[in-house]
Amino acid sequence: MSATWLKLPLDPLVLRDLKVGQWVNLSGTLYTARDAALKRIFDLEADNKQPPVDLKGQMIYFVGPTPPAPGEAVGAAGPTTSRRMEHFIPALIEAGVSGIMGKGPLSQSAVKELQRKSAIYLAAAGGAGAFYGSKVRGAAVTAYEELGPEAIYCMHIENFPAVVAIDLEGGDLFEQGPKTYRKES
Amino acid sequence: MREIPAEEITSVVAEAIKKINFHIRPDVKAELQRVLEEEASPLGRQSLQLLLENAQMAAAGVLPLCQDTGTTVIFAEVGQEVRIKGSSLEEALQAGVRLATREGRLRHSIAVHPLTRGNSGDNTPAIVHYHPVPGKALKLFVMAKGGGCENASAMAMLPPLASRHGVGDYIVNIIRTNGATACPPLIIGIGLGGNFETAPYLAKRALLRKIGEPSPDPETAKLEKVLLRRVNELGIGPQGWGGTITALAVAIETAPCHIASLPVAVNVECHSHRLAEVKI
Repeated sequence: MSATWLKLPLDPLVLRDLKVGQWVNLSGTLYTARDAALKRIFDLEADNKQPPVDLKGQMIYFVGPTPPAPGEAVGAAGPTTSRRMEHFIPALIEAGVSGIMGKGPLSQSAVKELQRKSAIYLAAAGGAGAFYGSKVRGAAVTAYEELGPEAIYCMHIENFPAVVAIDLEGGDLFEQGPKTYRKES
Repeated sequence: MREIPAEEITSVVAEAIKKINFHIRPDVKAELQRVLEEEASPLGRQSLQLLLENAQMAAAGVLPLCQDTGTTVIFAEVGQEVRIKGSSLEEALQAGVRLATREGRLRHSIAVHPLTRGNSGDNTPAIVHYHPVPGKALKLFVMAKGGGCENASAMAMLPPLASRHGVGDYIVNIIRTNGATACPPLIIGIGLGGNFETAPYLAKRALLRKIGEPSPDPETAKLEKVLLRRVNELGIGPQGWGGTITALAVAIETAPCHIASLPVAVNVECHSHRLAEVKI
């Protein structure tokens, strides 16, 4: 499979060339977040307090890794279900993220939100925790250490493959892919 | 009576949990290799290849197959001539979960209360189903069940005379709606009959069967076959990226039910299918 090499944080100019179904190979830094951390960030925002991380221009990866073995940056680190984060997507978009990454489909309203602010959605392969963990070269807790696997980490990744699942034109892999292979009448 | 020391049970359970988190089952691996040949979508095939590479990496024992090391579910078949020495069977099993979590560096994935969400810190409690059986053996099915695929599961009380096709419609619709979130290719456990609490239990029990082994009841086996075809015709494919392989198997367990009822439960299992069978 031929993949497009991308550096994180993403250059906004490269985003428009990315098309649904295309492999990308990511290197650079991103932030992790999932249910508990996202709830905390956006509860703060509701109270007009500053979130602990500036998300502007960053890639957010929905993941809760296992603890690292001695000498390793992180344990298994595959994507978690993005649909559970739907509720936070408008706020993430508002905070200026360049993209989000997880597994599985998002709703049409999330597709529109992403498109509105020119952000992309990347799908990583669910259940490939060891594979993705091996692509993480460094990980440091940025906020909410007490949340354990749900803390926000700044991760340095190298050669991390994912598929463009929602592009800037609103193309949606989880819509188009199944439509191509559907046989039921 | 046969005495089994509690520590022995604890150690056996811990080893089983560690094993399933790092080593793909041979039947799962064989199935992934089989569908790699069959899958029509290039993206689907690439994702299956990635999973096989993942399994190879996890086998080194450093990184688990999946970061969601799951809820431990244990089906314990307890011989009636067995006595546990040292602690209760329940304590011995839970101690095994604690030990595996520490030694295997498994993720802490259990919230002690569904509303307050504090973490138990050691993956206890495991969910244990006990069955007294004749004899002097203790047989355990140990499963690490992921949260994402468990969330894709559902149950319903259908009208008692729903047709086979109607029952199938309910099941296929659950997969249509939730399948792509649950890490396909899936293994689908179905519980048919019983009542409100037994149908989901049967659905989970159906997952204990060897992948692709049909039900011994011909009528049920026929429905399993039809459902597997229908689910694969949805086009969801590996990872939900589109393709011809959405599920590896559909397994149905049935039980008698009330004349007014037809309970149906769908327990969705991801491709990791971490399950071990141990006998003491």
